[in-house]
Amino acid sequence: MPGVPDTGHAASIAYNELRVGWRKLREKSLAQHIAVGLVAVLVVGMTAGVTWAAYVGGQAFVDDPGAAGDLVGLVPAGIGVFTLTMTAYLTALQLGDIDVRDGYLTTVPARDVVGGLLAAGYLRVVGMFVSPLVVASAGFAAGAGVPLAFPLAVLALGALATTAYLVGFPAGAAVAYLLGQSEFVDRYKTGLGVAAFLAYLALLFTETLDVVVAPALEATQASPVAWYADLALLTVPGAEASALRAGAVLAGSVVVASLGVLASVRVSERRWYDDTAHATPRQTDSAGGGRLDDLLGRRTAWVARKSWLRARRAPVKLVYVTYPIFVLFAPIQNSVDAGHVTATLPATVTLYAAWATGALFSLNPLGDEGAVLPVTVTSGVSGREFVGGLVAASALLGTPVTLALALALGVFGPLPPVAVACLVVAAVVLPGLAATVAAGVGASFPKYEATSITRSREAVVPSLWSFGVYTIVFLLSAGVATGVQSPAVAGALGGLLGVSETVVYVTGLAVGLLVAGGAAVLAGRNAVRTFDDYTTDG
Amino acid sequence: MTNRAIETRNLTKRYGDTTAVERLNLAIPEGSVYGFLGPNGAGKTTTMRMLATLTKPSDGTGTVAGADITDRDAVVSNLGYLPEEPPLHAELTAREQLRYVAGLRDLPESRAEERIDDLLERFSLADDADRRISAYSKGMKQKTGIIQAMLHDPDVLFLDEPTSGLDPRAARTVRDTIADLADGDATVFLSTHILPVVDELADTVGVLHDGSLVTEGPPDALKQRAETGDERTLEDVFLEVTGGIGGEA
Repeated sequence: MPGVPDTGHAASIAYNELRVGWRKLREKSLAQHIAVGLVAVLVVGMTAGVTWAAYVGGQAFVDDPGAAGDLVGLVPAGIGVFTLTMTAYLTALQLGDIDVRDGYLTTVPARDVVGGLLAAGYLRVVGMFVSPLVVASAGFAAGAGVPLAFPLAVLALGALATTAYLVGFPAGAAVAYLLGQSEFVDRYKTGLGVAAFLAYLALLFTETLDVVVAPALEATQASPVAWYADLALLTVPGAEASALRAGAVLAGSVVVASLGVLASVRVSERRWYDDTAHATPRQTDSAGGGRLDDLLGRRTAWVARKSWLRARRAPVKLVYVTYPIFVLFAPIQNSVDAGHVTATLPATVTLYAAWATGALFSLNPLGDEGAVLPVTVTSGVSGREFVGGLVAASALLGTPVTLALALALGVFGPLPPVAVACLVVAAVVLPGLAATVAAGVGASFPKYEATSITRSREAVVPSLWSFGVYTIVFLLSAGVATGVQSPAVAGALGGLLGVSETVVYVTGLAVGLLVAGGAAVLAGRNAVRTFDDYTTDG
Repeated sequence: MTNRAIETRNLTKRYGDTTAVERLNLAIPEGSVYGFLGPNGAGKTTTMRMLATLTKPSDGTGTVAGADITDRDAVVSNLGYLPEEPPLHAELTAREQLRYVAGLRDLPESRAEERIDDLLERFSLADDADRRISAYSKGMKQKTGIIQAMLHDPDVLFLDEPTSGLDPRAARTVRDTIADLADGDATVFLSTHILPVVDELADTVGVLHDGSLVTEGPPDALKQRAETGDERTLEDVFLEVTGGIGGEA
């Protein structure tokens, strides 16, 4: 049948995708293995929890089916919406494309490649999200005391997840295609990506994510998607499940899923064979010179400019800086709930901004140079100039932002003027010190190998050791300087030490800056020496 | 069945206001080696990608082994393609990669095994065939890519810089292999900057400059200066038709 993938080829491609994925996983570092292990433990724990809840729910359902109310339709709606959105997201990001694509497309028809991707993606997405629910179905059947409910629930779950997956896949591929076609997106993708991420965080922090999700859930619940519950509960006494609706939803699944496969093929073919957007070539950045050269010296200025330029062209390599942003979740949420800036928010935001500034460009000074490193070290630039350039790149960008945040939140927050002043001083001094500390730590724990950020993008990011050691040193120094700039902490410490809060604010700042300064001197020396002494001997 | 392995008529590719390939007309007979030359950015890779169905022409038509280049399914089975960067999974061994592609090509298993062993042997890769490709040198990856491209005895082979990164012995093997292929019925479309390779192997040479074919003919004829009868090198010809030593921006 035209447009339908060859199952043999698709199975072979899917098997290879999984094999390659497994080998990539095996080759990851110990820390990454531990992270994967923790996720596995989490999934097992969640499966146990959901299964227990389903068991109790099964018992309660047979006792009083009417009490379940809207929940009966909400469960398939939730599973459907979640599977569809996650599939669309992962397809746009990763699942919808394949490594060495040109090799495949000159070997087999594109539809076979799509078939392989569908199968491999299905096992990944549905395996991850639906497996726990299959186990939970057994819990529900056991709780309800209706063994036949298990196979029917699994059938309903399989049909629902497969259908949602096969709708989500072409949707995600279409999004990726449209994004690739738009010159506007191509030109402003960095800004748009940042805006989307900030919008997501804003929804998350202000607890308004359900404003978006709830209507989708309600609409899905009112649609035939709710009929999957009829299929699952067909044999459960008192469920009033309709065999007609169960049959209809099963037949509908087959039709929608088949259309989903055909749509996946069509959309992917367009995505792969249509030319991507070619925005009007932008001018090469101006050759430099000017005030930055005067300020830093020519070579140092070039190192800084190079860091900014690379980050602008490939912002994905800086994505790790946003990882710890979730520490801001609680203070921002508290401020939103309270309707004003709470006492902990200014210090926490200042601390994070200074940390992020330090981590921006100097946390992997040698590794980040990549294949250019031998040229850099033999170019005549000194370690001092090189490290200075990286630190300047971070500090010149991060200090104004940190200062603006500290000032704004400090002024609008409940902090006494002396604490605001201390916070402002910390915001001016800490980013530069943090960047220097990061350079020293990063020079000691370099990472040269690229890490997969998405399927198609690899970037050299700092090592986990750099990340961890830098964060600890930073918290032990900068954390003291900013941590005490909160009335509650200052009050407690003042009471303990028998001094006024003002003394705690100022002394905390001084101690923190002193420790951070000392660490920065040592780290800076280490970074400069490591660069100057670099050889490929290791 | 046509006796032209590759034929294009006014094949054109535009990206916005930029024309990468302009009104390209090719007529390459079966069983020949076509040396495709041109300065960097002349449009060679774009042309190969159009012929390999990897990008759609903006205008004009083309056929490969008699199949329209807009009909991918028809072209793909007759096609072998080695892009500049060999399309290989670094996590697999060469043998796994080749077995895998043979499976996708629907080659009978026993024939595929035999052919893989034979080609690995010919390219001196047999001893390393069970090591991960990630541990290979550039040349070893290149050899694996070449084997992959010719595994199924395609009618037409597109080779983009096939001798890049190879040691002299391996480069010799590639050149001999290309000659053997052309002695059979296969047609080889060879894009390279290594002019002696083209001089040795190509039946016809085409030079692309700024997206247009600026000269075409057998190497010996191109090297013969029409007006004086003096013998030139292929490099002289290349430089002359592409604007001299300073011609490439």
